[in-house]
Amino acid sequence: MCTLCLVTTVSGAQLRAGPPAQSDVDGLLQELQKPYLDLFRASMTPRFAATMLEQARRKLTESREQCLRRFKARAKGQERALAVAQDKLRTQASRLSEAERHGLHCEIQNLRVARSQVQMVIDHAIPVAYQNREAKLDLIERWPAEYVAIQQTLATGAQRTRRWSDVEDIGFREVARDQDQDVRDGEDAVKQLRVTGLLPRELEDDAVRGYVRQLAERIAARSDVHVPLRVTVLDSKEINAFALPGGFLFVERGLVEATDDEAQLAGVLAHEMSHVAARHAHKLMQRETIASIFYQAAQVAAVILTGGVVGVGMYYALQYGFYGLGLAIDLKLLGVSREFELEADQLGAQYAWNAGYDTTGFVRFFDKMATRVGYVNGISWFHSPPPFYERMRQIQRELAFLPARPSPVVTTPAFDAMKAALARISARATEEEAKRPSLVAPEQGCPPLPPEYQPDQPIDTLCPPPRTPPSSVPSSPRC
Amino acid sequence: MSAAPHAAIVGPLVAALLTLTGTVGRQQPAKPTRTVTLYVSVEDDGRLIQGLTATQFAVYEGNVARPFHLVPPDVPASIALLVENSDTARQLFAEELRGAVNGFVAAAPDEHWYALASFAHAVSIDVDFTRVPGRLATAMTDLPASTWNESDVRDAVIELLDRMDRLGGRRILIVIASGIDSSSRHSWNEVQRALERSNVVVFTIGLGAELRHLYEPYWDPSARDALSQGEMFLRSLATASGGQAVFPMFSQAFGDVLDDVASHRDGEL
Repeated sequence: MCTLCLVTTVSGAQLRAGPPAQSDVDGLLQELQKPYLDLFRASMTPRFAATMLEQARRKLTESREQCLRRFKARAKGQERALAVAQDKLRTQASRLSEAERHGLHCEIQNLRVARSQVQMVIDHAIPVAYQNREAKLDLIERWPAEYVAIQQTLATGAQRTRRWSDVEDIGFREVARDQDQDVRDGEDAVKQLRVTGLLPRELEDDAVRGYVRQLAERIAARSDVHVPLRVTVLDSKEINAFALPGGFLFVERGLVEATDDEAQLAGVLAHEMSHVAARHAHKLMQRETIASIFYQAAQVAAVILTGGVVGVGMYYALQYGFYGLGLAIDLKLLGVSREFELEADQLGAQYAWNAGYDTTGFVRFFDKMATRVGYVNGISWFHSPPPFYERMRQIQRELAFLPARPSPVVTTPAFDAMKAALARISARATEEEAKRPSLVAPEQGCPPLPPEYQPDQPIDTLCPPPRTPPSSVPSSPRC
Repeated sequence: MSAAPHAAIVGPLVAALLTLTGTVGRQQPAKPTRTVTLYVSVEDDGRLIQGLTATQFAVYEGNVARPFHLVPPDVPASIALLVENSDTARQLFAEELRGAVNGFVAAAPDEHWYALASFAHAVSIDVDFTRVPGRLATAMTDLPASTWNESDVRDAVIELLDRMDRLGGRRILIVIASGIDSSSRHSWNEVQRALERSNVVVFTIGLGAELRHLYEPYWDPSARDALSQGEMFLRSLATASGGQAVFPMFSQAFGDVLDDVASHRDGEL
């Protein structure tokens, strides 16, 4: 009996040596569709052999390349078809009847829209989808050992030596000195931001505004934030929130709308507040760069939306609701470092816990965003420098160290009432958006174009998880 | 046709709607009537007069009083900036152009829709209508340099008017240009017809006043003529649409001028 077979008998049927059975690898790849929390729970012990994980990783890489090739080929096909249609318009313009001309205009328009959507899939949706899958594979591979280490740490009480372990003293401990010195910087930053004209207008609804403010203040009161919190809800459908120095917290309507329960929203707000408490902005951001940061953010948004040129593709992107025209800002523009982002994840989990919330809220929301097409870029709390797994691991580790609290809050009737009010606001906004004037109004009367994908469509449906084709790989272990 | 409020109309700026029912131009009773919308605002020595009512206006067509009613201006308005981006304009007026757009953005109220288009030989739509006016300023900074020296302002204005003609509600076009036209296919008469068709109010901000003030005496007559014609075009364009033409003397004044325009847009009678 070989050594690896001995391991098999100890840790389960899947931990065997030799080339893994294809069904096993397929099973492992299917696992990647499960939420992070389920995978953490299921991965307390090793379930898959290193060879199988390696093969799955290779298949993921192949699958990503294949998926990219498929969409790039589609984009090329669209380019060719567009060139043909435009050539026809150019060479036959004088001979075309009105109906033929209209038909050709519609064809060109639809091809431009489709090309724009496919480009969005290539540039944003596919990379995020695979980053997410690879993170889950990392989790399956590395969490069992991490879990054992956590249990040992708990057994010896060594968790008390980790940074910011003094959770009983939240609010009294000093995460960063002189937070109040950031207030002036924050005020200047907000002024500059308003002058740039890049800040979406404020949401005027008292019910939603009041709810978000109260929730944020409740968390702030149980956090290490020692400056008055000034919360602004922006009327933009971007799924985003960001904090400026000195306690200026901006939450966009789209973020509130995308959360399923109060714990999810609390998780994101707590994360942003951590940046304030730890004075990350002060450490990394110079006041004079604020305008340029938001200027860059606007550029990023413009490029995402239009590839730099306003056209009918953008018109449809907006119509289909993939992006709002609010403030899409990537926190990496604020110079947030890997270290600070991980610290904010840790502190954010602590603040949500201390405010009595279900601490899985942030992870659940992160998971939801990572598996949705459309809202995959420019999201500060989401798409930050540390790899997905590293962030998930950090949070999960912290959750394991936090003392259990009875009946953590998942959601409240106030959240449901706010969501009902928000649904009405969003419906009005959608209605208003439909009336948005456009200088690039499309050709009227064209057959409706089925979108390449819907904003809420799971990314997996674009590039289905890889499966091993039937082959000669033996399905039984060698030993 | 004229609107005669008690207070002097110093500059016919947008503030309220005068909706007039009747024929336009020569009276032709056999033809069906149509509704004409006029946007007016009333200033007294630069101060916007508010609170005026229909009884304080009269509207005449061919010296005949016409029925009309007064309604508040539509909110939101669709406001498009059309800026000259010819190679020459960028070389000579880069600072003025940036100052103008930034000044406008800083003063722009957030309830309206804003768009940015630029032109040299052809028109480019740089920012479609948005509620985030700051996008106009960032796009302005990133405007790709035109390889064309031409500035076909008449063609550009007609294209924008036609594009805005499709839109409903209150529409305002702000043209920031030297007014010099190199090789437009369209004539001034066609511009006038496009103005009539679209009912868009045009404000014009002339570039190059400072340059003219400093150097005009040294220029050859053709350059002087070109600039004079440009200025005349911008004045005529604004006047014919019920807008206003301004020619700031210093780069720094552009922001203030557009600030004024932005404020006037929202004045109400």
